[in-house]
Amino acid sequence: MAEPLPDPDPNSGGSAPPADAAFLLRGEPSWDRALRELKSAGYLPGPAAETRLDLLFLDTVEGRLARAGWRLVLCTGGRGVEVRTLDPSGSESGTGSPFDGDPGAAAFDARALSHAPEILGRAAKKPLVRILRLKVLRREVALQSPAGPVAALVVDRFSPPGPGRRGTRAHLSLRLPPGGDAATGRHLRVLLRDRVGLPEAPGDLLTTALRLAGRPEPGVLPPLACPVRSEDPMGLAARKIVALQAHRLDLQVPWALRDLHPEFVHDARVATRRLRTALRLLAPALGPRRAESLRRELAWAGGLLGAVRDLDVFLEELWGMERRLPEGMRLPPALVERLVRDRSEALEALVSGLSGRRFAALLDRLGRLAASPVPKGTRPAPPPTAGEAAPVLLLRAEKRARKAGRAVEPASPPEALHRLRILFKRLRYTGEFFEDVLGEAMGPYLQAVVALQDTLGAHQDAIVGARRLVEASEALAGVGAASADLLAVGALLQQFAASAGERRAAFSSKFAAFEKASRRRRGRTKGETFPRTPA
Amino acid sequence: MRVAFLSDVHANFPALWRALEGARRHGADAVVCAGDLVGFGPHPVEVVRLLIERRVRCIRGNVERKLLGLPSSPKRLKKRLDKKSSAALAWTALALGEEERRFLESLPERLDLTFGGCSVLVVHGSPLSDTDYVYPSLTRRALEAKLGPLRPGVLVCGHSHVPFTRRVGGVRVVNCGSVGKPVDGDPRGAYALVDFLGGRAAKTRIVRFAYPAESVARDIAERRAAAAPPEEFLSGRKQSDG
Repeated sequence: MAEPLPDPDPNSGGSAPPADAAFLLRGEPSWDRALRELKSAGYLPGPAAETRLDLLFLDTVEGRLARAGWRLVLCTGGRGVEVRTLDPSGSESGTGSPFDGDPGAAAFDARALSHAPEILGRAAKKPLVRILRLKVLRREVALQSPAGPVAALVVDRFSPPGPGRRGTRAHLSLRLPPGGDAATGRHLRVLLRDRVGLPEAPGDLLTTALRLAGRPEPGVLPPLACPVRSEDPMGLAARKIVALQAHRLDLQVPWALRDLHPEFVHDARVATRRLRTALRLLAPALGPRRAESLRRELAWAGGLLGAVRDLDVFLEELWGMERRLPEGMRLPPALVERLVRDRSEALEALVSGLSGRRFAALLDRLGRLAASPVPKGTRPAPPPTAGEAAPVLLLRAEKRARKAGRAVEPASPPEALHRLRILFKRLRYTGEFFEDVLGEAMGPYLQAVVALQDTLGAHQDAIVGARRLVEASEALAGVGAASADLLAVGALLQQFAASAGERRAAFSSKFAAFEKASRRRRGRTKGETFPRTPA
Repeated sequence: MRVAFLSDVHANFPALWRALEGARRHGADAVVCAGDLVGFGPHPVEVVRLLIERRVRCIRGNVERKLLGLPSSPKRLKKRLDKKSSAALAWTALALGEEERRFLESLPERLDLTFGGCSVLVVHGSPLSDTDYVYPSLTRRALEAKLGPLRPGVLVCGHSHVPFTRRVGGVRVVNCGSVGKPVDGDPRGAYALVDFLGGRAAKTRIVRFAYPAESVARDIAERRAAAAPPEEFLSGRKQSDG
C-alpha cells in the first residue's frame, strides 16, 4: 500500500499548487483500468456509490463568478435541492463564498431557484442566469492508503448538450479531502495521466461540457477585447476598449429585449454610455468622423434603453415609497396604470428598435472599428502608448470634474449637480478604461468616484422622479382624481424632496472623500513622469 | 532469455512507464536499471515507487551517490536550493520519502549477473567509476584498462546518455542511453534489449520510444521543481549545445 508522501515541493513554503485534477474517460474499460493501476500502485479503491444528479450551472450574463474563479451549481438529487459553490481552487467551498458581504445574494433561495425558469437569483446585484443544465450519473470511489482515505475519484457521466450530439461522455475528477496531502494528489495525477494514459480534461465538468457543446465559457472575453497594456499604442488601446464595451452591449441586449429583469436594461444602457464616452475620449486615436457618427447611433440606442430604464427606476422608487406612506394611503391606481402603460410603450419601442437592422448595423460597425488596423504614427514621433496617455487623460477629466464640484454651492440648481454627475461619470469611465495601466492606486480612487457619482445619481433620480410625478398628477387632476389620490401624490412628492435633500446634504462629505482619494492617488504615483500633453 | 536494460531515468515518470511497457510488449523476462534513477526530473517519488513495485533490479548511479551524501536536515537542504550546482539534488532529497530513501540506500554500486550462462556486469559509468564515460568510440585497449582482470560476456553501462551496442575485444558492450533525459538530439527515450542465446552469445538492440515530454515540462513548472531546463526534455539536447 502507498505510504503517505512528503511534500515534494520544497519551494512552495506550504502553498503548494492545487493537486486536484480532471481527466476525460473513454468508457467503462478505461475506468476499470484506472482502478486496477491505482491498486497496483498501492491505493485501494473502496466501494462505488452512484447518484443521479441534475446540475444547473449559474452565472451572471457577463460571467462575473467564473472570472473570479467561482462556480455556482444548483444540484437536484441525492440530498434534495442544494446550492453548491466551488471556490477558485475547485473544491466545494466550506470557508468562503462568492456572496460574502453581497446584499444582492439575499435574493438567492434554492427552493425558489428550482421553479424559476430564467432568472435564478442575484449576486452582486446582477441576475444569475442558466449557463448549462446537465443530467449526470455520478460515481464516487474513495481511495485508501495505510494512513486512511487519501482522495476520492468522481466520475460524472453525461450526454453532451446540443443538437446532434449522441452518446455519453465521462469526466473523472480527483478530489483531495479538505487539508489532504497535496503530494499524494500530484502522485495520483501523474499515475492517472502517464500510467493509465487518461487525457487531461480542459477544466472542470462545466468547462468540459461547454467545450463538447461548442459553447464559450462564461466570462471569457473575445480576442479583440483583451486587457489594455501599458505599452499598447493608443490606437490599439482604444480599439481594445471599444471591443470590450461592444462585447458587453452585445451580451446584454438579447436579455434586455426579453424583459426578464430590469438589470439587463440597466447594463445595456451603461454599455452604450461607456461606449459613447470611449468614442468621445479616444476619438483622435479612432478617427474623429467615424467616432462621431457611431456616438450619434449610440445616443439613439441609449435613448431607447434610457426610456425603459428611467421608468424602471421611477417605479421601483415609487413601490419603495408606497410602503412608507401613512396608513390608508396608497399609490393612485390610475397613476400606476399610466406608468405601467408608459413603460410597456417604451419597451415596445426598445424591442422594435434594437431588434432591427439599424442596431445590428451599429454593432457590426463597432466590431469593424475594433478590428480595424491601428494607424501608424507620423514620423519621426512614435504614437503615444496607453501608459503615456492614460494619466494625462485621467488628469484632464479629473480637473474638469473637480473644478465643477468646487463650484457647487448649497444654492446651486439641480442642473449644476446633474452636469457634475455627467463629468464624474466620464471621470469614472476614463479611470476604468485604463485601470490596468494606471496601477493599484486606482482602486480606492475609483471607489470614491463611484460613491460620489452614486450620490449625484440618486439626487438626480429624486429630482426627475418628483417632476415626473407632478406631470402625472396634473394629468390625473385633469380627469378628476379623488382627493385621497392627490394627498398620496403630495406625500410622495414630500418623500422625493426629502430624498433629494438628503443626497444634496451628503454631497459635500462625498466630494471631500473624493478630493482626499485624489490627493492620495497623486501621492502614490508621485515620481512617475507624465508627458505634458498626449500626442 | 530476453532482458531489458535501462539507465538514467532521471525522475521522468512518463518515460519510465513507457520504457517498462515497451519492455513488457517486447517480451522481456527481466528488467535491470543501471543507475541515475532520480535527479534533474520532476517525479523522483513516482519513479522510485514504480521501480520498487515492478521489482526492477537497480544499481546506484553517481546521482544517487551524491544525493545520499547530502545532509538529511531539511533546513540545510533548503539552503542548498539556492545554489545552482546543488539545487536539483537538494530538491530531490527533500521530495523523497523514507521508503524511497531506504530503497536508494540499499542499491549496490554494481551487479554481477548471469543470464542463460552468460555473465553480465552492470555498472553506471564504467567499471572504473560511476563518473567515467563509455562512448561508442571505445577501443579495445581502453576497455581493457577499464575492465582490469574482469572479462564479462556483456558489459552494461549508462551515464553518457548516448546509447550504443558494440563488440569490443570479445566483450559485448551495451550503453543503454537514457530513458528519461536523452542528449543525442533525439528526444525519445532509449533502452537496450539483450537476448541471451546461450553461452557468451547475446543479441542486442537499442529501442527508442516516444513519451509525452511536454507533461514533464509542465510538471517541472507546476511542482516548481529544481530540475533540468524543460527544453532539454523537449529537444533531447543539453541546452548549452545550442
